[in-house]
Amino acid sequence: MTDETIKQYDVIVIGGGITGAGTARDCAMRGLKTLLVERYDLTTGATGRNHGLLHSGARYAVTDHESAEECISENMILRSIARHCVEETDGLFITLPEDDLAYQATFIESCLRAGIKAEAIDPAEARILEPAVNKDLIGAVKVPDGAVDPFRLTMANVYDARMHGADVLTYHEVVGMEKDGDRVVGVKLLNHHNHQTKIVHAAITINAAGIWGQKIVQMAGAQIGMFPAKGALLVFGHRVNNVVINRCRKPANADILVPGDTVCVIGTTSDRVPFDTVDDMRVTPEEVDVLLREGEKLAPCLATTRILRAYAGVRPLVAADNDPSGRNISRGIVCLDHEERDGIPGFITITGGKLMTYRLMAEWATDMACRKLGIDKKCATATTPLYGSELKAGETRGKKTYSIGEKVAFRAAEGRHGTLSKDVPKADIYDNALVCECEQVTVGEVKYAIENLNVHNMLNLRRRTRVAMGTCQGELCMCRAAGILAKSEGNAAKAQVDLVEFVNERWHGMYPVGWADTLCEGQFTSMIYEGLCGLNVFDKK
Amino acid sequence: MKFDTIIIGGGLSGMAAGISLAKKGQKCLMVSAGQSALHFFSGSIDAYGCEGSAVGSVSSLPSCHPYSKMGKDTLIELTPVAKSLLADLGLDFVNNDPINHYRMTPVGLMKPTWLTMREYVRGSDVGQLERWGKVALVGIKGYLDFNTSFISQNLDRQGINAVEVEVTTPELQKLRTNPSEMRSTNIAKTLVGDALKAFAAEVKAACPEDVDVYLLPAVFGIEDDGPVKALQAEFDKPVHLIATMPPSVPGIRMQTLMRRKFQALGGTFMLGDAVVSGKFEGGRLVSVRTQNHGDMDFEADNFVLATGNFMTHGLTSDRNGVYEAALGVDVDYLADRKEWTKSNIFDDQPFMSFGVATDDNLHAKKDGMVIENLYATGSVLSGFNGIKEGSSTGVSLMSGLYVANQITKTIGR
Repeated sequence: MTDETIKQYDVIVIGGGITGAGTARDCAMRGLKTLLVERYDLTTGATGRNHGLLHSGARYAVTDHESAEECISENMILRSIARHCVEETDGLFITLPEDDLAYQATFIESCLRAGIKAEAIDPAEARILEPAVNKDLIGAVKVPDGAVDPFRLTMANVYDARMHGADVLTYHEVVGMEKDGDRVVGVKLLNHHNHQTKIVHAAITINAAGIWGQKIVQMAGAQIGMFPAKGALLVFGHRVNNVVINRCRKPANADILVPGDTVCVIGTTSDRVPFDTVDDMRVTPEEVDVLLREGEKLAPCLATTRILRAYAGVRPLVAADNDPSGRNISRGIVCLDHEERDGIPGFITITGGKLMTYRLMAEWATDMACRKLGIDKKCATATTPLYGSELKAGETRGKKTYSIGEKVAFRAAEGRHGTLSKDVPKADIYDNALVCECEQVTVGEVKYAIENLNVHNMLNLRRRTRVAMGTCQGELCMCRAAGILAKSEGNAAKAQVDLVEFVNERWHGMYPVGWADTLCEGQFTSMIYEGLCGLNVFDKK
Repeated sequence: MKFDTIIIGGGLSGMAAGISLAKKGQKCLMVSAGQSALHFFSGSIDAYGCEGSAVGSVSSLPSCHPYSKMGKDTLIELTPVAKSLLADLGLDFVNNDPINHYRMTPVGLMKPTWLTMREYVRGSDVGQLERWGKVALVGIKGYLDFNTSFISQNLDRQGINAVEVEVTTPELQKLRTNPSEMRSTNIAKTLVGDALKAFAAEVKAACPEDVDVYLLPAVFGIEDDGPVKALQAEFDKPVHLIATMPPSVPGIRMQTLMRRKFQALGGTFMLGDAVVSGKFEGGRLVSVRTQNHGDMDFEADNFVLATGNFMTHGLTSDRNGVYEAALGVDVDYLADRKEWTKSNIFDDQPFMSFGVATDDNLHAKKDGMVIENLYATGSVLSGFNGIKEGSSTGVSLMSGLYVANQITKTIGR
């Protein structure tokens, strides 16, 4: 994407998830010459595999006061700096007959102590507020939860970092650390597109690689005890709820239902998994059963709602130092100064934490980098809106309403790219042709994404535009979008192979929930791409 | 209401059975939900996707396969019947019997097939395509379901260097004002008469003068093949069509022609309706009820179940099992849900072979008992993966004819 014009960076940030993207933005805004490197695509790891919940912090209020405080503070910040990535839905914590209603008082008290506005409402009012909620509820508390699109939020941070002068290299994997004595002075990168390696130098290297960060620490010559915790989730075919629904009890499996865009998501499970499985997370039938059983208690209509797909992510849990057993696990933010900890100057690890606290994590890591570089510049990410989220004078973020005859696709693009949707080509009637009917993605938006949003393949395109994320899971839009990619890159041979991989990527989330409409869609997909087109000849077994 | 035969499903298989029975003077009722797999038609009927002879492969198929149940000799007997049924509809299919030929897919790859509509690109082998000389590959501006990049790439792999051109006309421009209207069926409705002539003129103007053959998307003639012939008449060089992504204009044409034929032969066609239950008595199906007709019983001597597979909702499933949607007859499937699917979509997916359990004469079963006047036909049948084998359309056509023969024989008795 970017030509290597600077041999020497101030900072290299490793990891194209939300933490790395946020850190690159913060570094760039403070005037540091910054390079962000990611081994595959942006949001490939845990960032793209969670609820997309804009936590109010209420979930942690009783068990983890510090996390709860961090969440509500960051929640309010994201509402103002990332408004095009956030939906202000509010949330309910419901008590069901099988739950202890006494817990509610403890819960509200803990929320208020953490600064979270929690208000008990009458169950009848809750049923009106969210008609999908379990009618049997005996208690409800309203909290400022919301939804956040992690794909959009990460891309917005990366775009913003670029606008502040950062370079971004996706499909570049760190395969070694460059050292001068004990000091880390750069990284060795493998370009997955051309299979070449190159060395890039920087004064500071920040490891923001999530669970994969353990390997980065090892490459630098130190050790860290990380424990992969798998969380499985299900996406439903439409948005059954408009308010986030949680259970008012101690956090457990499958007790959060989050609406987001055209769908809603139930999750999650939590199981320790071996390290060698983290690159290929598959959802088991047992996990699906748990998610459905518990999910139906939150919103009974889920029992008859189509399941679009299943997916799983890996939380990077970090063991406290000197505790190799992992019994003493921290779910909070971990910012390691390896110079102090391991005698390795020039190397910082930022990990633990959550999607919600990415900005704070970035601030801590960037503060540490600045201290080491002797730069005295304050963090401004809490008050500076991301590109796409600038408020015009007098403009407020109201509820979106669509009227018949309006160009729904333009509104959809605005929802996805905020004010940057002005750059989506729409003057020409061909640019306004729909590629994806389910998600209202136009040819213009696909072209915009290819040109501006680090898109090299179908998977990248899906994460930037929601192409093929709707109810049909890409039956026909996949081939249309692949045609546009083939033309723009001038490489139809690559685009065909890419399309076949993408068809399979969609199936990977479908087969664990392979019954009812999903089985029907799977057969339809096979019929088109194998039966009709014969594209299976390009499948790499 | 009483009929001789009630056919449940109006796709290729149900139509083949219905037309055959109506021709024999039977009073038939066909209940059709509407769209069928013909809306995704490739322009060809695939008997069995292998090199060489399709019928030659039958002896190596497992005994549960519908072709095995019908038997090789019967299939050979039915072959001319199938061809004349299509010809009677005014559908001009060509073949290379007894050897498979190749159809060109919507992305320009070649797949073995049995019968192909005359206007389509086809090859006895890859070599036939090379004799074309200079090829123009014509796309329609803004029509995204005809991927000229992929076709061009795959033609190139076969040693054919096609000139890619893109054309539009004022009539097509009008379609463009609604972003989702640039689909094959709308183009087909637009490109008739003078608009078709204007389109042909644009194509000629856009292509080099020394072109030997024109390749166009199959978006002409939704009612009949008049527009295809009119288009070809505009050019003094061969014009061949390539299948598009769905919906398939020639498939819809074929569906329409079959429905008209069935009705012309006196058949009663109930569109937009679905059979929801059946009354079984003493090993026979006595009557069925439909969604739109409440408690009205439709009685018949014989019944044909031709509702298709999961894709067309002939089969349904939930977390606990797989079911036949209309009558609740027995389904062959694996009890353990984990075994229904495999993680690579291009593997042989077990669920693809799920379907209605039948005896060797394609009688459906209910609670383990053969129902002597209920036949299953086409993609609703178990024991084969039509997509993987390249046999879906062949099984549909042949089993529809086979079942019609079975019914005719019982009447003769």
